[in-house]
Amino acid sequence: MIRIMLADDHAMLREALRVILEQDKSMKVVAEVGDGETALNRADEMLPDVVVMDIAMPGLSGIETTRRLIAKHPNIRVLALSTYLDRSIILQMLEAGALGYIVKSAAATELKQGIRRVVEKHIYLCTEVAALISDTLRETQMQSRKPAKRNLSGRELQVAALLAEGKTAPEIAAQINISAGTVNVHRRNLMNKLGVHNVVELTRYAIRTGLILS
Amino acid sequence: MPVSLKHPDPALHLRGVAEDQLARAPKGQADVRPTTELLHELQVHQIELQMQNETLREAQFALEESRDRFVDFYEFAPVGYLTITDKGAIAGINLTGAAMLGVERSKLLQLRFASFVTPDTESLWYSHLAIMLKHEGKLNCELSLRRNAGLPLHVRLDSLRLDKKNQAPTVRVVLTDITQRKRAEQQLADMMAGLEQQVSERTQQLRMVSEQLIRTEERERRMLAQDLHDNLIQLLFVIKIKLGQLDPDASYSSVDHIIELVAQTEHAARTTMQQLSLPVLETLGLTPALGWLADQLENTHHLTVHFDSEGEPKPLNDEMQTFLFRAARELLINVARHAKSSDTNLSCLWEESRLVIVVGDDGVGFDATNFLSAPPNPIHFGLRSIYERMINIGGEIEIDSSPGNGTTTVLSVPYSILADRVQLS
Repeated sequence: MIRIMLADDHAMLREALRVILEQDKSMKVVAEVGDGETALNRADEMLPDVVVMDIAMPGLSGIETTRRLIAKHPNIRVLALSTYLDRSIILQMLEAGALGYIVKSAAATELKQGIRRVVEKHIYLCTEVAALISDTLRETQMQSRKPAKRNLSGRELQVAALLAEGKTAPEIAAQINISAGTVNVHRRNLMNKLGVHNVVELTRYAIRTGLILS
Repeated sequence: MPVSLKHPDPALHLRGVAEDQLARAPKGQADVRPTTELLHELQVHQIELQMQNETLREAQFALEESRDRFVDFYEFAPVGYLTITDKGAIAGINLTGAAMLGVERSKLLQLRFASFVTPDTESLWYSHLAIMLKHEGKLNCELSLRRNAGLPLHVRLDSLRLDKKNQAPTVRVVLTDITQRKRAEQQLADMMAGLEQQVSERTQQLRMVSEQLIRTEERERRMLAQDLHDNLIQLLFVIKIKLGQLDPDASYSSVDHIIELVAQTEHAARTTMQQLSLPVLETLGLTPALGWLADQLENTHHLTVHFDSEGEPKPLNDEMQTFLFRAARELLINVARHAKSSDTNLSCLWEESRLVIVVGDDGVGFDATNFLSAPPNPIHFGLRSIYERMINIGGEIEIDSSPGNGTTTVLSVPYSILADRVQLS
């Protein structure tokens, strides 16, 4: 018997989910909660096998609730059930410790399967989520193959040359008539772009490329 | 021998003196000409003297008349005339001048002019006098004079130094009453200040109204999105689940069709919700949402954006978070549309005391020095409204751009403001 807790602030949806799940004799909904705090308390009490977790709940979000729940009860499996189909949210939820992610529109068809998979410590992503994640992986791979060639803007070249000459941010700010804060922003950006970490390295770069005369 | 004019009959007296002299003259030199000849000569001489006397009397009369005229000019001139000694005392003053000082003339002489100058302009007078005594030439200054009754008198001094041999120099001063002019100037200045005050008050009011409108709009958006999420979409899920549970043997072939329709409705509602609010922003916070935004622009605008962040995120209220996110999006969309940039970056820097968001590109740039004063340009409309809003909330914005040098826009908001607003809302 798989013991399940439903965490979702929408009572009618919980009701509908309970009906689906309990058609299956091997599943039992042992608790229903409407927010993160209550979810943590009831989990301590009931120790369910699986928590079906919404993300957008009042108060503590599903992501934070999952993080705290897993920290306390590493054996409870969390299966996210959310309206959101968004890469960063999915990744955050998985990072927080959820083993599965199902969008609500797929609940009717995929929820039971998802619960069975996560109980067995497998990862389960519904079809749409899996498609999105594999796209992400493909893009990341392509990007890592592309050499990261960065271009300095005209202004950044100007600031680079002045820094290489040994000028300070306030001096540069006065010379080119912008605030010192913005000079620092340029410095930070151009060092990021060039992959250098200090003015010495920057000066070397500037001499090598003929930006300033040695 | 002195001749006293106090004698009762000057003619008789003169005669006596003359006869004395004649008696004392040496006898030997006595005139021996006949008496008739002498008499004639004396008569001629007398006529000559009478004529000379007449001329003198006329000259004296003319002189007196002229002197009276100049006294008149001096005393009753429309301006005050003063003579000041090198010690700053009044050596002479005309009646107009005395009236301006409000003291009888006889009591003014030898008084220090400084005692009539109001304390706030006293130092002006001292430096004026010092300069006059040191240098040649004319000089003027404006002072206020204190008077026993009524408001101080505003005067203009036109001064000229007078040097006499073997004597300390004196200063001639023309005193002109400029109270009317001063008063008019003051009125004008008051009016200007009043107008400026009104303009700035109105501007402030307009800003507050516009700020209020934007906030209301964003609150409405969030409420609508929340509503869609909490009610409509969840209900659609429920309907879909329930439809799916109908007995498949009931041969309702149309049920599948209904499920399909519900799925479409749900998709539409979800899209609307995402446009109205930003689930990533509300669920994950600003930093991840900006990372997400950088990714999104690749898909929606074919713009590659390098995102990076630094520092530990601090709590932000919803309004501020939404504004900063939308501002970053607006700036990036501007880059995509107009900048022809090959390298674009978005940074989110949680500094010691403020949050800094930077959008930089290496594109065509524009002349940012006068973009605020230039007539509204549709390209910069979004930028302008971000600028206005940043100023409204008490943040700072710097747009560093010039043709050919790319554009870097730096938005920075002190945490103190963010914290205040969090408490307020």
